This record gives sequence, structure tokens and C-alpha cells, in this order.
Amino acid sequence: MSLKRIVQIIATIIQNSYIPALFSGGIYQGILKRYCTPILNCWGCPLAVTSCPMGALQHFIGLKLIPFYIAGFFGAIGIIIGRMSCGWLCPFGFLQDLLYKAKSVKMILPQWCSYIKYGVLIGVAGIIAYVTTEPWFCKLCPDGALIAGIPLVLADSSGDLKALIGWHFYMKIAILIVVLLLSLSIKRFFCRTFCPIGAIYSVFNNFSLLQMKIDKEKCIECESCQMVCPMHVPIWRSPKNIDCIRCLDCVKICPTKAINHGPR
Amino acid sequence: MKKIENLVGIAVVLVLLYFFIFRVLDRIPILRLVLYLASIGTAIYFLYRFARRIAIVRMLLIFVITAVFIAGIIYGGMLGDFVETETVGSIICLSCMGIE
Repeated sequence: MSLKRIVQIIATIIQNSYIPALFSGGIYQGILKRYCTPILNCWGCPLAVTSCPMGALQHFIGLKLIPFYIAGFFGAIGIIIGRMSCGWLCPFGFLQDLLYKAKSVKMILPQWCSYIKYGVLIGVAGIIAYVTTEPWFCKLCPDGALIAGIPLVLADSSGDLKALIGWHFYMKIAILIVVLLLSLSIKRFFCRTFCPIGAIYSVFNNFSLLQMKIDKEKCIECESCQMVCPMHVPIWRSPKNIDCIRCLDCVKICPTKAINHGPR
Repeated sequence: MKKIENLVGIAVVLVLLYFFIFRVLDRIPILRLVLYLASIGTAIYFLYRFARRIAIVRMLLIFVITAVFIAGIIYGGMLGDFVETETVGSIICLSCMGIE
């Protein structure tokens, strides 16, 4: 097993390690909820011990407050490592990595789809959250449906929550199913097209401290880096690509060792 | 000399923007938010353009920007953002789950 996989597993466990919830129900309510994870991990998940930065961002936007903490948090992470946390820490990205390994028809996403996430960030998590004062991205988030919505309903022994299920819940489940099905055929479909956290970090990819570097002298343009890339980024052509999650799979696969990484 | 003039110019613009955003537009939250984000973005973009050819300055710039963001986290904490995040994160948002 690769180092990246081990880190992904450990990160998933650490971020969702509130074991008492399995026995007592409810969610974690301790001091760790003050701190956000640098990736998408629903804070409504019974096992989650930290907060989701996108949920927190929308909450502050809804309150018409400047989100100093969340903006600083995203900025500090982004300026140092760019989208690296997407590649190494995100449980939903990890799930999509695993799904793509399943035998299925494989498809390539058009490049323009990468820009949809900026619309989601500005439109859904920004403008709509501001106008309606409600976290509308959370209401559509497939990760929230998977790790929070479904477990909460399944764990509801009294039947109170089940009685309240309406069309919105089924819409979330439908979005989740579509995302998961497309992830079988398209590399990290959600991360590339809809993830607003990825959209924020991707802005920093161009000038973050950690950079991918290509030795043009050594590169034979075999495109093996693009084939192995979980985001299907042509790293040999654009090492600062907005979709590069610095998973470093390309560094390992490069036959001529033309790809490297490090501080700029 | 030209570069120093550029830097001074950028600093003046940043200071003016700061006062404009936090003093003049203090009562209009949406404008304040938009201008805050726009000023940060503009500042980062122009500082980056200025520094892109000078490796040491570029490196320093990254550290300065990181420090600004960390200061943002600390300032947010002083304003009560941590407690607010803990409070809202400790309740199950049923409407977010589609259960309402």
C-alpha cells in the first residue's frame, strides 16, 4: 500500500473518530468542533470530531459577517500547500479514488467542467447562502448525505427522523448516487467539477509554496503522469494546473524522473 | 528604484483600501465583504506579479501572506469565530440533511 493511501486512511479515521456516537447516538459536541478540517467532512456526521470549513464559511456568510477565521484558514493552507490536502486528507476524495478502481466504462471529463466548481463556490456557497441565510451547499452536499444524513436516519430508533424525511432528503440521496456512479467512470468527478473547497485551494495552486516541477530536458512527453493522475491533469504540460492535488503519483510513475516537487 | 516605487504604491493602495473598507463602508456588510475579498485578491495578484522575477522576494512574500492569513485566523478567534464555529458545529442541522 502506498504512503498516500495510508495517510488517507489515517486522516479519514482521525477526522471521524468519535466512537461513543456509535453507542449513544447524537454527534460530538466538544471543543475540537472549534477547529476545521482542511477538507470536506460533514460536521453533522455522528463520528466527526472537527468542523467542515465550507459549512462554517456559509454560516458566517449567512450571518453577514466577514469570515476572518475561515478565510485565513483557507488562505494559510492554500498558500503553503495548494490543493495537497485534497489529495492526501479528503475522505470523499479517497472514496472516489477507490470507486474509480472498480471495473467500469471509463470516461474523460472535458476541461471546461473544472470551472463549474467556481460557480458552485460563488453562486451556491456564496450568493445564495448570503441571500437566504441558509447553507445551501450543505443542503446539496453528497458528502453530507453519505456520512451524516444516511447514518442519522439509520440510527434513529425512535422513528422521529424517518417521519420527517421529505423530497429534499431524497434529492440529496439522488445527488449522492449520481456522484458515486459517475465516480466509477470519471476520475474524482466531484472534486473536479463541484467541490467548492477545491475551488478555493485551486486559486492558490499557481503561487503556493509547494510546487510541482518539470524538467523539460528529461520529459519525453509519454503522458504516463496524466494517465496515473487521479485528477487527469496533464502535469507534464502544466505543473501549476488548478486541478493538481499534489498527490505525487506522477512523481513515482515518471519513467525519466522528470517530475519533482518542493518549495518554489 | 522603479520597483521600490511600485511597492510604495501598492502599500498606499492597501492602506487606502483598508480605511475605505473598514471605516467608510462599515455599515454595508455585503459591500464590505466583497471589497475585502477583492482587495486581498488584488493585493496578492499585484504583489505576485511584482515579485515573480525575484526569488527571494517571492519567498518572503509567501511568508508575509501566510502571516496575514494566520493573523486573520487569530483575529477571527478574538472576534469569537472559534466559539461560533463550535456552537453551530455541535448541533445537527436537520434541514441541511433534508430532514425537516
